[in-house]
Amino acid sequence: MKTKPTTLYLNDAEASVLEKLCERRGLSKNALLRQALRIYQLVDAKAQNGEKLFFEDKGKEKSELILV
Amino acid sequence: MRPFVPINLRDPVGAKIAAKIYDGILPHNIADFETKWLPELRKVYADDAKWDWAKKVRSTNKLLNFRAYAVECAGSTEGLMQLNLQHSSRLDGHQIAYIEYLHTAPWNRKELVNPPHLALVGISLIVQAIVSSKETGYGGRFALHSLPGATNWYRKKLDMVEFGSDDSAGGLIYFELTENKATELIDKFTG
Repeated sequence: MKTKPTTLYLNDAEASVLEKLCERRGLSKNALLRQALRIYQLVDAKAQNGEKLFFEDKGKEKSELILV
Repeated sequence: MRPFVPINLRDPVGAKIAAKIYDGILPHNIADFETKWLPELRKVYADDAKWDWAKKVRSTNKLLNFRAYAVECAGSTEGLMQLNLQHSSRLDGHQIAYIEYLHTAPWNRKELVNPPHLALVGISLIVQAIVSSKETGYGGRFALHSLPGATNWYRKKLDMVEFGSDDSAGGLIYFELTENKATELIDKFTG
């Protein structure tokens, strides 16, 4: 699979979140950001199709994720 | 040009047969499945005779989360696989790949045609799943739910970690391949 290098600028807070997520998920920064793009595309495709995305907490209360 | 990886299959006398694993499943692959595979699978009431590749491909087309592969040899579709790159390991919660569907042509299955017309189609797709998992940063790890007729192959041939019957998947047995086993398989198959 061919890949192209891409430069990404992150502020300190974003870079810190990225590092923590990589640690927790056991992924490199490259792998995690590619995964984030796949998830974003999937969610966007569902939203474009008129579908909704909900999170359900432990008390079974649902909240909808709205893409703007 | 449609990307592909060259592979070697084996004919009934063990001779090498050149084939390709293509990145993506195209309409001619689905046509082969519907017109050549399905009639044979329906005759023997195969577990996978109800799979609908046209629907699978249509519903996931262009989504980065899904990868699809087709094995072609001499213009004929010999194997199909769909991979989901968004799956959580039951071993440690890490992200791994998940084989949604792995399908070999009926004439390449020992239990239906012995000897099969072409051997190594299934393992070639497994190796491709490992390669895709590695490229995604998952170290070659993947999971799957096995149809009843294939459980021994995943258990004994691939030595996957077995988690038992999964009620959420119609009672199919869930397996995972570890990173070490993935590396062993790649070395054994390509070495």
